[in-house]
Amino acid sequence: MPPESTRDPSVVPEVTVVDVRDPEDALPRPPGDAPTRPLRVLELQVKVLDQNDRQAEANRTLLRHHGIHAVNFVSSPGAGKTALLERTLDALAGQVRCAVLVGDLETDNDARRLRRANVPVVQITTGGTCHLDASMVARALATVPLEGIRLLLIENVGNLVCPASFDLGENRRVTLLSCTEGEDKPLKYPPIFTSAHAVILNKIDVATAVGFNRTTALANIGRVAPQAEAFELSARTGEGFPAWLDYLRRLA
Amino acid sequence: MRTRHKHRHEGRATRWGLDNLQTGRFAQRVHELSIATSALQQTLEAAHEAGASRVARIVLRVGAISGVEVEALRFAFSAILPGTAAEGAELEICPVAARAHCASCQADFAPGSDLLFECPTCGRLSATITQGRELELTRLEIY
Repeated sequence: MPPESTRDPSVVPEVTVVDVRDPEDALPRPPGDAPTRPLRVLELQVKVLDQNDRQAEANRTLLRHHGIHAVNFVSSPGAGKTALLERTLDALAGQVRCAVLVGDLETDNDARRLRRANVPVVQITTGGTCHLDASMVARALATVPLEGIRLLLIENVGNLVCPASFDLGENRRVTLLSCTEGEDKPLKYPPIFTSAHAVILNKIDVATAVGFNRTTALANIGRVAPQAEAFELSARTGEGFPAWLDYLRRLA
Repeated sequence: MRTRHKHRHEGRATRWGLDNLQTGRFAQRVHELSIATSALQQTLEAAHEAGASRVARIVLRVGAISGVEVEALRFAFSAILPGTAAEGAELEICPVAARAHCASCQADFAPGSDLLFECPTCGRLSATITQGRELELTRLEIY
């Protein structure tokens, strides 16, 4: 309130309006057709990532934070993923600290085979699901003490189709092909090979016995997956293992 | 007054959000449904921010090797649009062909129908894919 002396009776102050209405609270419209609004165009450039890709990115960040490199092993059932991991874990024991996640529809048989001193192993039982996805890996990782681990080996569900579409947050994807499967597998199932960083030709100890042509198989791998490093080895006899172990040591 | 407010907010929750959608195991198994759900969520957020009352058209760019089956994507959209501000919106899918780059010829080429990335000029294989993996929300038409 200004002092009495400054009051000029000829000046009438403006009315101050304090609007306390909710701006969202529109008055009722007249009934009938809604008024037409002009059509507007919104130009966007938004990448559509699905939930799995978002979770996979979160997994990658978590693993990077702990200095862990993750390798996702994919193949058809029976190509020798578990045998490969058994020999790999034995060879890396005392040099590179590993953790293992194993996906299967049922049973923990593979996880039991992979139990080693100082190696945490988690069996992911998927029930009916034919592949691992990033959220399953996230749940499994929550149960593993990650400190000190350098290499996370993920054995995917045996399947040459579905795991190709699901990023788990891995740093490397390794596709296995065994000599008993035939040389043309890469041509029949390209996505799982085109998305691989490395391809392993396993069971080369029986290649001759089953009439497997390694040259043709390697040429087919080269056609479909020219980006992938190729390894020929036998998880049973250990033939060809030094090059493969070097690859993993370079990662870790 | 209170009742009217409550009503309005509930309406908006389903209209502008996807609270009513089941995005559990089924969405993860059928990968196109999960992608459609993400795209719709991004659509509704962008439209809501722009003050739209409804969405008339959604335009997506889908690459030939993005791993998305266009018919499955359309089906997924038809299942999740009702009840949202994009109900009845037209879905326009612009296909993007696959292209690769040949380092020895210094040229881009289109792969054959079998999607083998073999340079038609020199026959060498290329792993440098320059286009075809796109999966983008590029345009919305809103009222």
